Amino acid sequence: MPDANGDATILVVDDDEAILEVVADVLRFEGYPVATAIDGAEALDAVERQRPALVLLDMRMPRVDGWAFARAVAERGIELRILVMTAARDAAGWAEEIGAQGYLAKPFDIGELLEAVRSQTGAA
Amino acid sequence: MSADDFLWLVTQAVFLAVFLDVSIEAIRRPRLAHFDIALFFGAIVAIIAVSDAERLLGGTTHPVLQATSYIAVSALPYLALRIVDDFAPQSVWLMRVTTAVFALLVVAAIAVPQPYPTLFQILPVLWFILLGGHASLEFLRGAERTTGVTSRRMTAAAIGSLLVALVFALSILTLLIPSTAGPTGVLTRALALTAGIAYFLGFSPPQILRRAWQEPELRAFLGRAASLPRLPDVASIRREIERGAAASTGAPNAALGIWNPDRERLVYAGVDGQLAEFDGSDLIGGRAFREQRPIFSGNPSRDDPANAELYRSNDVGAILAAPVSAGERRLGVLSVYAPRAPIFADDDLELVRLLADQAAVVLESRGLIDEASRVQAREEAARLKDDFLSAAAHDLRSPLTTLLLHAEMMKRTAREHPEAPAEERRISTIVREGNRLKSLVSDFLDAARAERGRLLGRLDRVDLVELANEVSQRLATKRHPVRVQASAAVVGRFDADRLAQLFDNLVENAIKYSPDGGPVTIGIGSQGHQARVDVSDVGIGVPPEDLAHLFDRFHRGTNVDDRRFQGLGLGLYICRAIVEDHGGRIWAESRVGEGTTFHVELPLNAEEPEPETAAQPVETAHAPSTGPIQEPAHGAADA
Repeated sequence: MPDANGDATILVVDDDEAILEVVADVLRFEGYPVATAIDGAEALDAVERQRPALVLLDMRMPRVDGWAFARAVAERGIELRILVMTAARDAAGWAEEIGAQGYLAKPFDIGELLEAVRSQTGAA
Repeated sequence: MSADDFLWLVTQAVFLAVFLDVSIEAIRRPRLAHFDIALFFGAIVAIIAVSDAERLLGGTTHPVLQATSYIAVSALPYLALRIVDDFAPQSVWLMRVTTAVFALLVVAAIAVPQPYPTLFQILPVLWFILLGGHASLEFLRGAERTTGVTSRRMTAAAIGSLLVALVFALSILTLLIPSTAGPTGVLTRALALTAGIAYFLGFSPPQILRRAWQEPELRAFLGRAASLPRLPDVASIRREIERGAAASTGAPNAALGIWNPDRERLVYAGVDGQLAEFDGSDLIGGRAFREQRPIFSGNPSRDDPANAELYRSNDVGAILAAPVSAGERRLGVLSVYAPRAPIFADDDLELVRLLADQAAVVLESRGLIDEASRVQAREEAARLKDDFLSAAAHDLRSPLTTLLLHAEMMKRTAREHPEAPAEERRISTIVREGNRLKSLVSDFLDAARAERGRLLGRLDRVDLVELANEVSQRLATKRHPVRVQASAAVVGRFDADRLAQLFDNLVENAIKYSPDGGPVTIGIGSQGHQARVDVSDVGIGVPPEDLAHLFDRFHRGTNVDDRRFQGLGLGLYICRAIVEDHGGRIWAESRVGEGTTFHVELPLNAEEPEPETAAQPVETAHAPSTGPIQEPAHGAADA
């Protein structure tokens, strides 16, 4: 069980509210503190308020997309662990493109989601 | 020696040299035209010889010399017309009259006692002036009809004929008014010399001059050849090659037969633009194609009697044909036609072979370009399909993720807390996402149906305003209010489900491309037999260059960031199919950054009287009232 302090928070970013909701749901069920954002702009606000341990980042989003978010984060000198979460065929390529630590290709099940999160947060 | 004497000497030398040259040519290549030309110059040389003999005899005349000179002068108009005929066919009666006049003059030359009366001396000269003028006109006409070397030769011959006629006119003047002999003497000789040279160049140009005269057209054709394979169609390429071959050889016509290996036929373009097919060994061209060697025929009707009528009716008296081949590959045959053989020189066959080789390069390049574009089209189709499948997979994955995760969560809950009540929230989400998947799948199927024109089902009475209100209620949100503007019901016969889909798609599209929120307006009205629906948003808009392709399958706007707006680009494609299958039209107006309006026009005249209110013929009174128009076997075909 991770600590309940801010550093363990997982930020989930997706414009698909249904996915946002259920992914947050699963993570909370596992005991992770979770924050959510509907696009890159909200995610940026969240990151500046409270540094998350991990960001699950959808790439295609209206207004500020995944690439813009990653750029903005880098410009601010913020270091983040990011898992790209996308339905696109080239998930691995996009992850590499923005310097993310890994990726989750949609559709994924609970096992894949938790394994990916654990590998990044180092918590069992 | 006076200048006059010198000029006369040179003139004589030129005519003698030309006579010798054309005589050798006639012996080496015994053809009618060569004999006629040799005889013509022979007659001139005879006249010169007689006048020299008279001079040597001290100005006295001898009866034999006098008669010889007279006959030679009489022969000139006859021979001149024969030469004209050798290049440009003359009417039969003119040939007969000229022959008869010549025969009469010969008989008269022997029969009339010497010295000849002045009027009698003038007769053949007058006759020649007449025919010389005619020949000159004929050659000029020939020059106009032909191009390149032939046109230049004809012009030279026309000048020669005109000058000879002038020389004879001056000689009549001298005969009638002997005092003019001095002043006109020099002029006569100068004209005669020029005429001789002109005739020589026209009728028997040395090879080096022929080449020089051919060069501009040949050079122009070869210069253009590189751009020919890129012409829009094979017909244009064919036309250009034929034009270039005719111009280069100076022939009035050329024909490129292109081998169709599937049908095993040589395909030519007829005069009317229609294609004409011939057997691979038919015509002189077919023979050259079959034997894979260039062929010259100076008398196609004799060499290929089976097609004699065709040659005669097309005024083809000579053909040069050379196979068009690329290595082992036989591509076709290039034939050059002229009404008369003397238009061509013997080495023109070599020129036609060169042109045929050039044609082969052009046709081969064209083949390669066609093959390349076929490959490109195949690749493009494959890429489009690939894109479609990838986009389809992408769109299906998101709802699938939600569905999967919720279902798994429910499974866990059920396992750990079997007594807990069903999670209503998760179940509704699963149902909603399931529906989303369903609608995506039906979009794919609709696109496939639209492709085959089988989109519409039964037509029913539909009020467009009512339909718009339903759609508005279904799709409006706080961020995207949907307003319906209409003053009265607009009723027509439509496929209700498809029209609902059309409204849904247009409104969903308006919402999707208004990411910052904003109202969507559905305006509905009618004018005459047309219903008009306008769906407007205040979204990102469509750049002008995309408006035309907006309704194409898989098309997405250039300002639509693929990473921001998911979608298959099928929605508007399906919309267009729905509208057009109803007999209407759809188009869009837009300003980037200000919004887009989709306009739909649908015909209302499909509305027919209700069976119960209108007088129906007895035999159709039992028809079901479900609507007069039924798509035959629609359900079965689509099942």
